[in-house]
Amino acid sequence: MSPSLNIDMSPSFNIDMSTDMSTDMSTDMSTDMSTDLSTQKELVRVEALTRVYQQGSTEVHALRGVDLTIKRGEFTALMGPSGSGKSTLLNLIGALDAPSSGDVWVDGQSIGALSASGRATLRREHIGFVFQAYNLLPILSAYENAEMVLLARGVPEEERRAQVMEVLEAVGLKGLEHRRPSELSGGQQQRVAVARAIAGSPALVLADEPTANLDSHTGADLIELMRRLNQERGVTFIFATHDPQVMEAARRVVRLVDGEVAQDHNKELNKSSH
Amino acid sequence: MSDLSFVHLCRLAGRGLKRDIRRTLITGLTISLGLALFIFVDQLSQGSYDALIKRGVAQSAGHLVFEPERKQAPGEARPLISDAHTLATQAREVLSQAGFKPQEARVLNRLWLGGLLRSPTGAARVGVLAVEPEREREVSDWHTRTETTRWFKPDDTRGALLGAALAERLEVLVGDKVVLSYQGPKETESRLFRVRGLLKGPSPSEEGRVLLVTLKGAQEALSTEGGAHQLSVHLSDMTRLAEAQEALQPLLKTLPQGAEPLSLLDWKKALPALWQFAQKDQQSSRVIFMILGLIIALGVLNAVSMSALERKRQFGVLLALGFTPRSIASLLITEGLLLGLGASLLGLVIGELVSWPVVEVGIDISQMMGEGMDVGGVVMDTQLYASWSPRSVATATLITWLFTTLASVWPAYRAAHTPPLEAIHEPLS
Repeated sequence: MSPSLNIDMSPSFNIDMSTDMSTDMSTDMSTDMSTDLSTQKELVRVEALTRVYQQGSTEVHALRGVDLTIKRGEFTALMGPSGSGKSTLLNLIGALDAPSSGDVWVDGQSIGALSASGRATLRREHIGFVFQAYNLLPILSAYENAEMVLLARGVPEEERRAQVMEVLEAVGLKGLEHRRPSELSGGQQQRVAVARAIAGSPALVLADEPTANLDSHTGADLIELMRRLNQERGVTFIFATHDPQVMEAARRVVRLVDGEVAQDHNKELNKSSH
Repeated sequence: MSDLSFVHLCRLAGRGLKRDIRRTLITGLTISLGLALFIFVDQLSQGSYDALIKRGVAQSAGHLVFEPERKQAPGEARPLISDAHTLATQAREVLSQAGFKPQEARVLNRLWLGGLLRSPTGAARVGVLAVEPEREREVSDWHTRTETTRWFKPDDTRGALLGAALAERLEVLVGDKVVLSYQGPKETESRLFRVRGLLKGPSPSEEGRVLLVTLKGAQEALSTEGGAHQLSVHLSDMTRLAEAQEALQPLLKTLPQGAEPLSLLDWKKALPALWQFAQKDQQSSRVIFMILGLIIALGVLNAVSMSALERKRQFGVLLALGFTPRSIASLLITEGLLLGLGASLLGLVIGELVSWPVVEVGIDISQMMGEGMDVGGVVMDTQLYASWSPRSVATATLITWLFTTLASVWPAYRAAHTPPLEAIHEPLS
C-alpha cells in the first residue's frame, strides 16, 4: 500500500489520482478542487508558538506566541520583512526545528511530542520541502533526486518509477530526468525540487523563498506550476516569501511582523463573502 | 535498520564516493599501499622467522630432542646417550605406531666435539659435528653446501668436510690429511681424517670453524658404540609436535638399568635463545604493524571526516526529506565499508604481487649484512625469502576492511546527529 494512502484526505480532496496529470499545462483552472475552503479539515495547527534563539548573551525572539491554522488545500504565503519569523515558522511547521514553547500539529500529530526519528518520519510521510537554494543532491540525476522520498519510504521500484516519471512530467521535465543538477538551469533545478517535494504525494509542501534565486519570468512559471499542483492535486502549499508574484498568486496571505501575526488575509473567504 | 535497502545504500554510497573521486582514490590508495606494505613486511618477516626456526631446529636440536639430563661439568667430556642407536630405533617404532610416516618424523643422532685441527702448515680451533650421512641430508642443508666434492659415503669413518675458510687457513685441499686433537673419555686424543670436501657459507665465521665428520667416525674416536650427544626428531608438520612428544614420552621410562637419565625437550626448551629471539622479533614486528595500522586508520578517519563534513548540507537535505539519522549514519558507514572493501582487495593484490618474487627468488641482503648473520645463535642465510601466510594476510585484509569501516562510524554519528536545520544552512560544497 502506498504510504500516501494513509493521509487522512478530506472528502473534497479525495480525488481520483488516476486522472492524467500530463495534460496540457494550460488546462482550464475550472477543475479547481478548493472551491469551499471553509468546510475543509485543518492540516496544520500552530498554538502559542514561540521560538527564542540565543545569540551570545542575547535572546532573540523569532516568534512570539503565534497561533495559526492551515486547512487542507490552502495556498498560503507567509510574508513579512526580514527577521519577521517567516522562515522560523516554516521550519517549525516542517519539523526541522523545535519550538521554545507552544506546539505545532501536522495532520493531527504534535511535533513537540516527537523524537528526531519521529519528526523524520513525519517529514517523510506528510511534508515536502522546496528550498530557496534548491538543495538538490549534485551526485544524483533529476530522476534520482525526485525519487529520494519514495526510496526512503521503501516504495517498490516499479511503483516508484511510475510516480517519479509522473511528477517529472507534471513539472515539465520529461526528457531531462537523467541530467544532473549542474546540467540544468536554475528554473529547471527548482522544478526538480518541486517534483521531489510532491513525488510522495505529501499533504503539505513548505516552500522557503522558492523564487528568490530565479528571474521573474522563471519565477512566475514556477508559481503557476505550484498553483496548478495545488488546484489539481489538492497539495497544500505554504510559502515564506518576499516575492509579490507569490503573494499575488496566494489565496491566503499571512503577514508576520516581529514574530507575531500582524495580518491574516484569506482572499477566497473574502471573495466568497462578497 | 536503515530506511533504505542495502542495495540502495550501496548505490548512494557509491555515488558519494564518486563525488570526489580524487579524494576517494587518494584515501583508497593510502589504505591499499598501507595494507600492501603490511602484507609484504609480514610475509618477509614470517619467511625469516620460518627460516630461522627451520635452520635453527634442523642444525641444532630438531623439533624434539632427547638429551642427557646431566649437564657437562667443567673438565669433563659431555655426557652421552649411551645407546642412542637403540633409542632411535625405538623412537621410530613409537612414532610409526602413533601414525607418523617415516618422512613425517625423521629421527637421527648427532654428536659434538671441540678440538684442534692441524695440518702440515697450521692449526685451528674447530667445532666438530658428527652426523649420520644419509639421515642428516634429509633434515639439514649441509650436503647442499659442499663445494667441489660429494657428500659422505655411509661407512666413511675417516672422511671430513671442512669449512672453506678453515681449509684456506690450514692450506689444505680436498684429499689432504688433517689431524683432530680432542678430549677423549680419559685424556686428549688425536685422530686422522682425510678432507673429502669443503663447505661454503652461510657465514665466514662458520666457514672458518666447522668440521663435519660421520657419526661412526666420531664414535670410533670416542670409543663408544652407538653413543651420541643428541637424538633429534624432525617433523615435517610442526603442528603435530605435541602429538609426537606425547608418543615419545614413555620411552624415557624404558631406558636400560644404569643408563644415563634423559630428558625429552621441544625445540623451544632445547633452544631457549633462539625461541626468545624469535619471540622478541615477532613482538617488535607486531608493534611496528600496530603503529602502521594506527597511522593508516588516522588517515582514513581524517579523509572520511572531511568528506562527511563537506557534505553536511546534503545530509541536512536528506534529513529534511525524511531520512532518519540512522539512514544517514548507515549511508556513511556503507561508504566506509565499500571504500574499505575496494582498498583492502587492491592492497591484498598489490601486497601479494610484491611478495611473490621475494617468495620465489628471495632478496639478497649480503651487501647489507655481509656474508651471513648470526641470529639468536643460528647462522642465517643472506638470501631472505618471504613466506606465503594466507591466514595472516586474510586477517590483515579483514582488519583493514574493518578499520576503514569503523573509521567512518564517528563521522557518520556526527553527520546523523546534526540538526537538519543547521546542516541545511551549511555552505554548499
